[in-house]
Amino acid sequence: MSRPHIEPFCDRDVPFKNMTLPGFGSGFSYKMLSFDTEIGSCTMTVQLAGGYRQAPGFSYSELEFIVVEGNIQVGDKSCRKGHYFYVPAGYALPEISSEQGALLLMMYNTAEPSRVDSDEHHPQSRTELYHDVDSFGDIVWQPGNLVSPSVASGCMIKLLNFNPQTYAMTFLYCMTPDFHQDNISYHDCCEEGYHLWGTSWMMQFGDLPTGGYFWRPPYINHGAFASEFGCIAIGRTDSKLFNHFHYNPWSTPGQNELRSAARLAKRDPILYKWCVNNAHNHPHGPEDFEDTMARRGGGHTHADGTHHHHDHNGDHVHD
Amino acid sequence: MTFIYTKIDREIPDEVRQWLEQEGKEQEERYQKIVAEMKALNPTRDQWYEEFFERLKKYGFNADGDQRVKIKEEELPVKPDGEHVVVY
Repeated sequence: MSRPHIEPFCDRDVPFKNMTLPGFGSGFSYKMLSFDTEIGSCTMTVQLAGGYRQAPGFSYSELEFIVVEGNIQVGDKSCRKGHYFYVPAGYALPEISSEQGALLLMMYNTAEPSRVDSDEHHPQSRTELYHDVDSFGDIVWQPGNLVSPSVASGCMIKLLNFNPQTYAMTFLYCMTPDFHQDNISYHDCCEEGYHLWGTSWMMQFGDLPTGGYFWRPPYINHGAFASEFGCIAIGRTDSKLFNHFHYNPWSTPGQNELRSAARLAKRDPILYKWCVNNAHNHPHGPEDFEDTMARRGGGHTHADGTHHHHDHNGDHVHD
Repeated sequence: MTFIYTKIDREIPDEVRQWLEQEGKEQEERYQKIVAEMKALNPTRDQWYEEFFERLKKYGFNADGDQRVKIKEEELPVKPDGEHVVVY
């Protein structure tokens, strides 16, 4: 099993634990929200004590984090509530400190939390993918109808990170006061959410307050939706988000999965027949010639579709 | 399914393996607690489902965005036999 269905969970209901893994130092405590038992990837609420300092260094895992409360200093950059970071594996962040303490949401995507002191990036790091942004101040809210069928008006998003290969994304979402949406939804992807502020309600799980969290595997019903006073949350998917809406609260994940396949068969019948008849549904999917074709520069392609040539002696991971 | 985009492999030290094992155990406890809490919510949830069906008949189902389609009584699903679960 990878990550189980954790929903609903509220981090306010459990105490912080000191981080005992090497490299994090004292003053770094956490609450585990969800955890992949196969690869160690996880999402944690993290509390940095006042005066906390962390030397420059990198993680072997890809990392995303957002400042939930307080301020942190990252190198010469002062980062307030809402500041978001996407950090590729092996990317050496400068010194991180917090004078008054801070609350963070940290997501180690590809392995367990790790940290190695270093002021240089790991040679295998995809450093060009790094980005950070003050998501509260520097991005405007967009209507939630970027996908179709879409959420009702009153649910808006700010896109923080997007993988052009898998369509996985990280985003802020908010619901305006008195938001309501009367349908049941499921997706073909995993979905994760954490309430930075405010309460929303889902018909299966009840209220999700500030500090509320879910990790939801594919095909699990959620909704109808409502929020009396509004909320702001961070959400993620691990592949394309498609809203399969319906109104049968008793359908099971297995039935929902079959419905997704049935809808694919109706929408893309030729592609569906090819997949089924040729049994080309092996775990890594069929070959994409753009990933494997010989190139004049002898380069190779990464999971995000970009390709380039470089020399190194170490292992190099491809999805 | 994972968020895999970038990763660098390494040897996992023993102390990290112990941490992983402990976190796995604690997560199993959290999961079982959630399952029990959601089971206890069944009677309230049944009422929420009925209220949902009433809204579908009166105001409609959000088919896409704010587009609402009224659902007739005879179109509503029948509750199946057996225990209903929402956490899998």
